[in-house]
Amino acid sequence: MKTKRNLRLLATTAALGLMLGNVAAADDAWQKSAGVGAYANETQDWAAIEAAAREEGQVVIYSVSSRIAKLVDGFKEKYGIDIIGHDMPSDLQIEKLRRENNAGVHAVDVLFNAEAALLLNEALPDELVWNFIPDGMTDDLDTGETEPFLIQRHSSRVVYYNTALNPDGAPIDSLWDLTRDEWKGRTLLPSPLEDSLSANFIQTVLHNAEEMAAAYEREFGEPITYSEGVLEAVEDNATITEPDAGMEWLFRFLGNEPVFQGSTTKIFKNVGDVQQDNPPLGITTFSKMRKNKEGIYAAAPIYDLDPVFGVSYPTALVMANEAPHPNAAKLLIRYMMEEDGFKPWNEPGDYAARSSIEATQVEDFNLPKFDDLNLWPINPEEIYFTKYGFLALYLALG
Amino acid sequence: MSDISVPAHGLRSRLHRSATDPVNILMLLLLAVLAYLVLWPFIQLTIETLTWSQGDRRLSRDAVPGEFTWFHWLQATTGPLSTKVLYGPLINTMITGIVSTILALLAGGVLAWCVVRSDMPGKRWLQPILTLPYILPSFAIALAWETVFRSPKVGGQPGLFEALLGTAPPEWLSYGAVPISITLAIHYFPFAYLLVAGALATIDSQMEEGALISGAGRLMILRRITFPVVAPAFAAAFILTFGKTIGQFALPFLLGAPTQYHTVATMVYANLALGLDSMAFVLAIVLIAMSLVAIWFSNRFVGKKSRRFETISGKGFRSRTIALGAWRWPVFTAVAMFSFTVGILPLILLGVQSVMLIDGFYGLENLTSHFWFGTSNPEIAFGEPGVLHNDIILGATWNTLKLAFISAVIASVVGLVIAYISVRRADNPLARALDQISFIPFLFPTIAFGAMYLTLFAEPVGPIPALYGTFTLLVLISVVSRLPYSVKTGVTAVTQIGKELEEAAELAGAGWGMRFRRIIMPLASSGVLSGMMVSFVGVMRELSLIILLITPSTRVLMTVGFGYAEEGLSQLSNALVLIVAVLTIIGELILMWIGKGKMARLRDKQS
Repeated sequence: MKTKRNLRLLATTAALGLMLGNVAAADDAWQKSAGVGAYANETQDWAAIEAAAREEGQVVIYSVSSRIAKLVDGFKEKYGIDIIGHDMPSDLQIEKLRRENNAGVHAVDVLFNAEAALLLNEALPDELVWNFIPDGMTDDLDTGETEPFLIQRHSSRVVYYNTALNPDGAPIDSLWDLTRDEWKGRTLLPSPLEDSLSANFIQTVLHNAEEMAAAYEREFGEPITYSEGVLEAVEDNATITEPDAGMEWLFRFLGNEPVFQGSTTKIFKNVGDVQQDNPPLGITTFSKMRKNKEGIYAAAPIYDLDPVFGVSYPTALVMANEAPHPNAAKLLIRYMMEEDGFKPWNEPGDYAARSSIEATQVEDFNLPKFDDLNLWPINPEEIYFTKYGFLALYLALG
Repeated sequence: MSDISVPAHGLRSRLHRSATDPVNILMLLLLAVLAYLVLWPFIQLTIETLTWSQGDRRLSRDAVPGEFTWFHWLQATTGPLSTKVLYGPLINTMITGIVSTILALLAGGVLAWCVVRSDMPGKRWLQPILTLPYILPSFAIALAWETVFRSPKVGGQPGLFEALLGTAPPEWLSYGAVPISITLAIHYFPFAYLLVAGALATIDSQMEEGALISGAGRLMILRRITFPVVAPAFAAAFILTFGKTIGQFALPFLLGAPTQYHTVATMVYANLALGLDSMAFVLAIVLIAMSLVAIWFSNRFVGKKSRRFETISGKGFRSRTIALGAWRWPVFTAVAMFSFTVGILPLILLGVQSVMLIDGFYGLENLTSHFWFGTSNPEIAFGEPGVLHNDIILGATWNTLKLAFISAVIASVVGLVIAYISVRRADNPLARALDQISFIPFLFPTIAFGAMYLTLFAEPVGPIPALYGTFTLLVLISVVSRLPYSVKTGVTAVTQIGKELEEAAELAGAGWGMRFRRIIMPLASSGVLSGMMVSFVGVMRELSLIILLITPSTRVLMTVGFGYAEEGLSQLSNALVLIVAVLTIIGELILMWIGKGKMARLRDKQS
């Protein structure tokens, strides 16, 4: 009884602390029990964790993927713990968590979240979430996959073409081809104003201006020159001082009237439909290749596109601050990093962060290794801090 | 407490009377409640546009989270982006809003007249079909449009237009202002239809017969009797349609974004999607201001003339339809074809798509009932079982029905009370304020509204308990979000009820509660039931309003459907949309059946 009241007091203090921007002290006890923050490096006694988790009986997860429902039965069978899954877009997860925290409501344990920029720049520094790395996995993961947050898998946005109508291979070999007249109005992608992952793609191209400049020279055989529109946009923009090849590409690309479509699946199908004369290209999710069907859809990504194959982004597993079931949370995070718990997301084009699982994927799907793909990973820091500048530039160039 | 029989004796007794008048008490009570539920979140929203937020550190080096700033307003109104973010979209919003509203009012008005006042055959079947376009999610209509008018540049199979005529449709017919206005009108004309039909149903044929005897022609009757009587309904429909079209984002995004055609609402959405919330809120306030102006115009219009339109009086009532003569069948054919195209065809398209193994591929060998009846098969849809085999969906269906029904009923009754106060006390500024506050939720970005309710009810505040994670909270926000509709329909209904009915009851000693229950509610019931249907449908389809407030135990169909759509499982999400549509139709039929019984009994008593 008394501990319960103490806990509530603790939670209230934590909430108050958060509002005042002073969070460090209050939730020490919880951090200790969850093994995060200052206690992150302590050894993990998995027998004890499992026992405590069984006691807790359930684990609540906000998940960006509805496939979380696939884990419920297996997890229940293995540990006797109920997964209470809750599908929600990544940004809303953080919005909801922030408001819950401010109000002292602690209802969720784990976040399965693909908004690296918000996790890195808001959720982690504001101590809304904590990074928890299960023992014995670090050998299997790169440092960038355990810090600042644990990564479960890598997805990508890449350029697809229709293989049935282009039997000799991809019709383009450079991102700059998308700005040529013959592709006018024939590139499909989700609107960057609607889909933050599409915005990430464009922003990442903008962040790699030098490589875009080099690719320009390779494509057109002369150094890049800037259009009037780019120079004007730079002049009007408070945060940008110099034009660069990324902006020039975006300007020409938008001028070439790309077609915005809501769903990545639809983009794949419109590109891959074999019953058309003049198929477009599409910037869509790498893992859509599973939708290929003999005689109906035939599309493949352009692996050797210059200067880049595509843009990759991670999906993270983090523990919510003051999670009410911290031990079950640890167990679920570990489970989702293991072969069994990864199964729902095991598909060609999505790569497990753990190299042991990835090795099986590479063999099963007959795909190159993730590291061998010429992908630009998103830079969550840059993406976060240049979002407004991007919007300004995007609208000015469009 | 018969206030009109006793003449007023000085200020004191007048004060005493207004303090004990149940209508005044109710008005103050409702004002207080709405201030907390609507005004306070609105003020918070405004404050957020005037405060640096955590995320603003990336916009400006001067940002100090929590401090006051004009930054967001300046950026929107005078910044280099203002043409692209505010003024350009504002013009587009005005164009599509006004054009689609006019189209919707025309279609709704003509159809309502045919169904209610003419002797067109087949009314019983056409009536429910005409409300179907509103039941379908707006994006379904946009998708149907695209199936027909898709331009070859998006790839894939050619659209129906191209397949039949051999040439690609012009781009202005595929994307931009024209398709947006037309599809918005198709989606929202049921507002006008239901409201005008409710008003037409109360026209006493004796008025028309009187005019006929005096030598008026049919057109004259239409112009001088029918139209003036339904004017308040048109005004209400105008506000609802205009407000809704300028606030709608899914449809303009689907048909506008491919060619960079933006409205203010799609800009709100884009800013939210990019995490630039304060900017989105500035634009939302612009939208709210736009519709307040529209309300002001319409209130002036209805307020001035309303007394002239009272049609339900203490005298007898007779309703007789007007013979169309030779036009009977042509009119029927036209109405039936229209209903089929806008109401049934999109449903058929959805249904066909939900039984295709590979979506978009037409052929008998591609048909499957898996997405309806199948059990889990790892080869299809990640092993997701068919929708009728899925426990989550059964629970969600029950939650959805419960939520939609309870919210629709509460919203209608509360809406009628507010409408009564604002019509009968039109000279009281507080009553006008009540009317206007109740309209604000209409244009709140729903996701922001949900977020604010999360904060508002996460902890007990004074006598208000913590409602976080409860079903009650879902009901509360759904009711508040439906108030704009129910108040507007209520106003239409109350305006038509003559004061003398109440005055007579009052003389006979009936208190206000009794009068409201026995006179206003029954007489307004046809209009209010229409409104209840609209609310029922609206709540069934609502997603972003409640997505932040849902917990797994309070899951509803649309949140499940959202999960499917997100994973690209379009057959399953189509099947769910169909389930929602069928449940809605059943709900409507029940409401209609209740309503018919009520009206019939009332008429019996009168004659």
